Amino acid sequence: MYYHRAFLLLFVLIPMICNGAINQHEPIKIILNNWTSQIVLSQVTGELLASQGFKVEFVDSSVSDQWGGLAHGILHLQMEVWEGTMSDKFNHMVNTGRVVDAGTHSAKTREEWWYPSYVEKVCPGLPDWKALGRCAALFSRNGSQGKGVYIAGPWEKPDAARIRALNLNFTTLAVKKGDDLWVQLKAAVESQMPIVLFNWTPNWVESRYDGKFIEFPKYAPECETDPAWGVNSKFVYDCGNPKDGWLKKAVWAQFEKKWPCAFTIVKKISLSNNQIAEAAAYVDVDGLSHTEAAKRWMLNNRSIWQSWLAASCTK
Amino acid sequence: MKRRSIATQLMRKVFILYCVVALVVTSIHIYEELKYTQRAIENELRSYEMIFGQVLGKSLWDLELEQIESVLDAMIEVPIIEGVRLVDLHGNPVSKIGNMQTLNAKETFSNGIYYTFPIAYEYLGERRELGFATLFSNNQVIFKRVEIGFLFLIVNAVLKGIALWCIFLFFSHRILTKPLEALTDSVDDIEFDKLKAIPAPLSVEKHNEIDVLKASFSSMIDKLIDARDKLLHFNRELEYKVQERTQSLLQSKNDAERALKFKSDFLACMSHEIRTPMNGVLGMMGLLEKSSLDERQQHQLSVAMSSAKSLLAIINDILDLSKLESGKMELEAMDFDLHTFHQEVFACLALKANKKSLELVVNTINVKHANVKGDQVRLRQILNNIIDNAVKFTEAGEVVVTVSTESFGEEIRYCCQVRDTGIGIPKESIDELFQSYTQVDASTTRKFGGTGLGLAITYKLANEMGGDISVLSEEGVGSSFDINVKMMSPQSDENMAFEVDLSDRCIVIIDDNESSRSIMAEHISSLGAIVHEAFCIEEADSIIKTLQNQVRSICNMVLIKRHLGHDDGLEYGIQLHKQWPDIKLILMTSMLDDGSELFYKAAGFSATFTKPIIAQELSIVLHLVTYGCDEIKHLDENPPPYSSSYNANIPNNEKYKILLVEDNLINQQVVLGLLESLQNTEVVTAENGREALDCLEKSAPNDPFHLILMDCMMPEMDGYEATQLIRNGGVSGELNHYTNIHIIALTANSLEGDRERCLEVGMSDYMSKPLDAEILEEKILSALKK
Repeated sequence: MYYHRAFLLLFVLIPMICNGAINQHEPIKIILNNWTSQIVLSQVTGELLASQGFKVEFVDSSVSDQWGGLAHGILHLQMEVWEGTMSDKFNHMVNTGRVVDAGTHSAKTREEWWYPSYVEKVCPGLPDWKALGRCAALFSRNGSQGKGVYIAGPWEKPDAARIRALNLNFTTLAVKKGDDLWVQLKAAVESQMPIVLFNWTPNWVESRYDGKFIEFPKYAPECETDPAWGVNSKFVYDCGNPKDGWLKKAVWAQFEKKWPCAFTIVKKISLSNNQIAEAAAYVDVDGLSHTEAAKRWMLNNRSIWQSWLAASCTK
Repeated sequence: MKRRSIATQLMRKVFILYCVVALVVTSIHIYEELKYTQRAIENELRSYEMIFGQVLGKSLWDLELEQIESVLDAMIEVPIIEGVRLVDLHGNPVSKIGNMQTLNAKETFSNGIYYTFPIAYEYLGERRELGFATLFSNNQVIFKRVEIGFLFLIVNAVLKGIALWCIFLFFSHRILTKPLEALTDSVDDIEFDKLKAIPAPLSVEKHNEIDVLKASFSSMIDKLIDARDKLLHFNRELEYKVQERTQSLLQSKNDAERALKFKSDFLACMSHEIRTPMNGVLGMMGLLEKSSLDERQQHQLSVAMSSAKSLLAIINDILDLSKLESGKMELEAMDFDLHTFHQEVFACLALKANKKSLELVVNTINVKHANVKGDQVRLRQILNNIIDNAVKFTEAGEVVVTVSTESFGEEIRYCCQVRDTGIGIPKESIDELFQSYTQVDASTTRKFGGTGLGLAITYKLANEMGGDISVLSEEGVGSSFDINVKMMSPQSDENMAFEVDLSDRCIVIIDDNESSRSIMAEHISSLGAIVHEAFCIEEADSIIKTLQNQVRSICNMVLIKRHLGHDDGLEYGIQLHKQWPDIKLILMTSMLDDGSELFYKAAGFSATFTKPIIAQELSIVLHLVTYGCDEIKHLDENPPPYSSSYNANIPNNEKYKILLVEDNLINQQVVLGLLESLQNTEVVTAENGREALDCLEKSAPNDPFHLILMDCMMPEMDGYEATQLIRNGGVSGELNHYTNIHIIALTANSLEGDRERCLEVGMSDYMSKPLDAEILEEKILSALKK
């Protein structure tokens, strides 16, 4: 009789043990994009998960490919999903059930055209977008044929469509890497030259430079689909990007089932605008590597990340 | 018949063969072309993997369904692609486009072509398979591509065929048809009678097969001329012999017809000559029977009467058989009441059966017609014969008669099965059973009597009536005769079916004969009653007591057979009546019982009837007992057998005057003797037609004749002529007041046509001698009542 019970127990326990071991040894693949805050905070998250015994692997991916990676289970975790640039893809993936919304950071985001405050002196009326239209020539550069130049990031944005819809005499100049934006900004500030460029919040820039976002007509979803909507009845995108956008975390659909404890930790993680800006500044201003920046951030914000772990499950 | 030339036939066969060969070759060509095109299309489909694979990979990687659909929209624009289906790695459908039938072609591959390739996306330096795309094409695409080629092939084959036809036709006409037509024209011109008129042999131009044929034909004509001459000579001789034989045959035919006529006349004469003295013998013996004779004389007289009746029966049988064999039997087609018919037939036979302690059980439940049209005399003869035989050859047990009728349009099929528990018939004798003068063996004749003509006559009668008789028998067990004859629907069917409803009635039948009991039970159940059967008083008593003690089921009626083996049904009935006066009792008696209606009524019986009873009469009895007389609608038209007998007296006590016209004094005496029993009648005799007319003329207006009994064959003026004169009012109208007088013909002739001739000259009725006293009395009473 005892032999039978022992035999049965063995049958029940072996799969459970094996399952746990497999899940523990299979790495959680965290996406690293090409902007600083995302990389540093992803490494912070990786450290936290590793401290809980999970194997972690970082995978470089472009934003456009990351969704397929998440959907097909090749990538597992994205720590920064910005509403302004990623909401369409994110919502689509969540609706298909292949990607799961792992919670929202407390930070509010905005991605928009931005200028340093000194530009207001030469272009009165700013931050209203109409003022931008009036003094487009101030932003012209060599080769722009008198048109104002908007310095865009390496990410695909509908800026050209916005310029056409709002009838701005501007053209766009896209930098190859995100860091190049700050090179352009530093040079302009040093020479007090008018500049308008792509910026976002939370970002380290706001802690080091004084400036404002251009106030385009208020965003509405119809603006992107219905030409009749807005100030120009012929074209879409006659509006700005959403203000106070959300910043979410996204995981693979099977993440929670496979690593329930890790999912709880990820869900708990919530960062404010300052905390994100701080992480970016360690790299972009202080010149630390991403790994060093992550370690410093963890050192300076121990109480915060400990609270995330405290409520989490144990191994 | 239209002639077909050899050339045409040859051409037709060659051309058909050519067509078959051309069809096969063209088909192979088309098949190969199709296969080649199919392979080409398959290769083309493969090439689209390179074009669309990458973009599909990216779309599937991003799960962009709209983008996937856009790509599929683009793919379907490719002419050879009829459909595209995209599935994930697990085979789950992602998207599809195109004709659904085409998409299902993979399952039925014979209908189409398809190509499947993997969809992959390269990510992080690794190729990752995401699903499979299948491109479908179908045979329509292939056909479209090759249709012009096919058309060319077919036109090519048709043109070749037509050209071959024309060339062959031209040469075959020139070489074959034309010379042959010349030959056939020559043959057509030949007439057998003018063979010598043919000129010189046909000209021979070339030396081919046709020329040889022409030469042979000329030679054949010469031989034909010789043969014709011989044939003509032979024909003349043959014609002479045929004439000679024809004369001889005509002579033989005339002789035979004369002999046949002599035979018919002889039979008529014999019939008349034998029946006249027989009439006298039987009549006189009948009169003698009524006179005062001592016991010895009575016995001698009864033996003599029995012998005379047997002799008459034999004569009648021989006459019937003679008529049937010569095909001169004529059948009547008159409406008659089937129920009355059955009552009469079965009552008479039941008496014979009862005398032998047998029970005649009758089942008429399936008789669906009250009236039919046919010859009831002959049907009676058939039934009498078969049932009489059954009774005769059964010593113990029962004779069960089952009758049914069924309509087939205007025709009614009358079927009757007679089953007995008699001695049975040996197998080897069954085949000879219906032959004339045949009985099972000599001992049968000795033991049971009979001429052996009965079954032969019956069988032939059934055949005459459009039917048949078959028999099944087992020696020592019994026999079963199945009779079926054809009747017709009556011209008028006034007897409506009488509907009896015995719903919720509980009836007990006490009968020791199982067949009789179960037939009655079946019939009564069909009327809605709940029936309990008992074979003895003890069983019945138990059933009735049980029923009476139940709350819901009470016995309403008991049918008791009087003789139940050792038990007496009558006594039990009386006892039952005392115990339960509310139960209605019906006593079933046999033909030999002699109790009076009053006695039975006093004993507590609501009704009695004599077995066997036909189903329709049983219904009426049950209804009468259940509901009383007022409920019966047709009772007056069909008085049941247990009602009081008919009044045999002359109606209204008037005095009636009858004129008997008979030349034979013996017969006069016989008829006078028979009429003695009729009250209030005066009979005047006349010896021939002339005297009869005188009597009528001299009769006083206040003392007229009411009826004439007219012999047919008489000297001076026969009955036919006298009747015609009476119907015409006499020679000069002196008998105008007798033109409608009832005239009954009395004739010794019983051959075909006698009856018709009597009715034709105006006689009202017909009787064949020797006269039957009862029938004569009945006919006279019926006539006087009118």
